[in-house]
Amino acid sequence: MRTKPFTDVDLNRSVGNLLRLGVILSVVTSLVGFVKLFSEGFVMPRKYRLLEMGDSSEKVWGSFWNSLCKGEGMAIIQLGILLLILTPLVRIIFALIGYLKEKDYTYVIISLIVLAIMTVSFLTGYAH
Amino acid sequence: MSEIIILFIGAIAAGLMGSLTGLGGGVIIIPLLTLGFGVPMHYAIGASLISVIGTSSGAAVAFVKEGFTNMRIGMFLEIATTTGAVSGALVSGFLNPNTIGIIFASILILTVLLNLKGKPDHQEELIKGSLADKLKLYGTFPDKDGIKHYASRNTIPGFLMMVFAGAMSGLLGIGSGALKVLAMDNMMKLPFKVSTTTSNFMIGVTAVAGALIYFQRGQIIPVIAAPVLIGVVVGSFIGSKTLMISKTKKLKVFFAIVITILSIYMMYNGVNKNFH
Repeated sequence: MRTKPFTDVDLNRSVGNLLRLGVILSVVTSLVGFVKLFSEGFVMPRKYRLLEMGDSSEKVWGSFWNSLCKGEGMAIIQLGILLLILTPLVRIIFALIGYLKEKDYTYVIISLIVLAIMTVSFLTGYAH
Repeated sequence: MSEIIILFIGAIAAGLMGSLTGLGGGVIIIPLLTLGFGVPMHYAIGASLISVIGTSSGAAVAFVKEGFTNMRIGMFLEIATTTGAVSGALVSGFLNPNTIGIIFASILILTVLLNLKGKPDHQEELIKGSLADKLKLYGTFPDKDGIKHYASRNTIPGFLMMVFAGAMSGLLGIGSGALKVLAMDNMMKLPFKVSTTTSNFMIGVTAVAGALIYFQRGQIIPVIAAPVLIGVVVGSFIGSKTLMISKTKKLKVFFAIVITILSIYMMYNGVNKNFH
């Protein structure tokens, strides 16, 4: 039972823990992906250019989902990377909730603006 | 297999240096990948951005607990850095790798100059009714003599500098921590420890804004980005354990020498069109 008001100290603590969790999850997922990848007999090509992931966002997401459904190592590593990308985003949402609890509406709006810019980033990336 | 182990070891060093300086691992990772391993520039930037997210999140765990990070200042300035990062990442898609290499070298040289210039440790009183007051850009931090109060100045110039820092992050795949610290130290006149740790805190979100674009352009290659990421997380963890006890002066001189050599090398290769 929480009786005292939600403060910046609580917010800092939950954000710190969240970031750690995100990094650990991401690293563990990538490591699992690597074990799988090498068990599939992966050899690094001579030219890194040959590792291309597709030149449009549809191809990138398409091959990611396909490969992930087959449980391929490459997609598992990619999943680990996506988890890491998500961590700071979830951090902003955490902060947003914290500011709501503190009733600091200026910072609720500021957090929402940052989230909106992230959405724009995702969508402009997708449109490419 | 051996390529991945070498990538991993290089990334540990980059993570350690990135975390100690607040610059982010990208400064070492980009030259290492492009010139050391012949990785195409945009793939290197993609991997570097991922490593930068790892550095920021990994070290933030320690920094946030120390109580120096100012989350409000960070969040407010993230509006600027993420806007910049989106623009930088979009522009990077149209640029030739050698051009990016030359811009990279120039920003590195600028970083060295900024680091050599001594930074006064500010501690400003809050001006009532200022923009900094309205946006709550102030705070306290623990010190040996007790709790210290500080507040921000020059909010708008600091904000604009942050847009530039964000653009360089999205364009070059670096955390551009030096530019962020410049905005917060020299312009906004925040205490050194607050600016360094808050900068580190913001670097992750800034890099994500760029990474979302690189990922969907197919320029984040799992087998390059992941070993780099894991190495950097290990390196930055070691770094976050030593920042609070190390003497910053010695570090500055050491990093200035390393980064100068790197930037000359990058410039030379950019001019000779050695990047792919």
